[in-house]
Amino acid sequence: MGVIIKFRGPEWFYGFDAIIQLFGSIIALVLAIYGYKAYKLSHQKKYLYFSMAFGLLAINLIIYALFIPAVFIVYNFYSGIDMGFALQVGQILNFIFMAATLGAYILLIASYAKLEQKSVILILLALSLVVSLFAFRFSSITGFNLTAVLLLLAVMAYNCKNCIQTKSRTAMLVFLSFFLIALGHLFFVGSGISTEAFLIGHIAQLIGYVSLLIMFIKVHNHAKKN
Amino acid sequence: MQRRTSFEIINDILFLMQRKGGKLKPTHILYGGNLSYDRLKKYMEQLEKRKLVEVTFEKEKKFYLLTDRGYEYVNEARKLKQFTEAFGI
Repeated sequence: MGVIIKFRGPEWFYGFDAIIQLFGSIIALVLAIYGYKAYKLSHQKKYLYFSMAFGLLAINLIIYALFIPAVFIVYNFYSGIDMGFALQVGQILNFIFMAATLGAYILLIASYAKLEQKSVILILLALSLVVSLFAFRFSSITGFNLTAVLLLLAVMAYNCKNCIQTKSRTAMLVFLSFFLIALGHLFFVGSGISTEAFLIGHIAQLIGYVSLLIMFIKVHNHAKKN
Repeated sequence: MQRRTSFEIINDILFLMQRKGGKLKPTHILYGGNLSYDRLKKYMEQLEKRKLVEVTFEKEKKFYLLTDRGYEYVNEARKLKQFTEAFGI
């Protein structure tokens, strides 16, 4: 029950997946801090939701990269720890990972859609919790990843509109990054069958994170020049 | 066209002041910032309170000066503007 985060790739790739997600968590943390700065300056809720979304993503990716592997490393090295306990902790972390990932994508949609009503956001978050519970209960990688793709499609629709309106490279990079992160989730659906799908999914997400980093550097440098 | 939020108006005023060398007459801010007199008064009072601008008089003419704190704010706000525009939020 509930093991969504599990190494399903080729043997040589072991550990690299965690490094990629750790890299992603650093990028997400930087974006969360920037979003919070925008909120502090403007007091607009959309920036708070944006910041919370990336903050959650950063926590998730840290869970993926550090906490879950740590549980199993501790279990393997300290014989005093009960296997059932280690599995339970691993499953709880898996559940937090799923619920928080879907929650983060919903907060991103709330930020884009400029949703102001807390009740609507809470209902959407509750829905993401229900989906996570189902995915957790039935160990459904497909259910979790397809829900993530659907939510990211909504985010991408906003990004696409922004790209067309602004025609800026940075907007294009943001669209590309969300497209690649969604593509990664899509490949993870197939990771139960093929180890290559797991590998390609992680590489797609890595390029997505790099794309976000390039966007951030471009924005920083451009602002400095002005 | 969408109505500007107070945050956007404040940014527009401060960006304008920075572009024009950090010192402007109220009328120039009024025209450049596309504001009514009442709104100009309200926002300039806010900016003065936050110590982002200060008032000075030269030959009995009133000028608004961008303070060091104002320049810091402009740099930070410009970065954040580009950042949020990239995401389209």
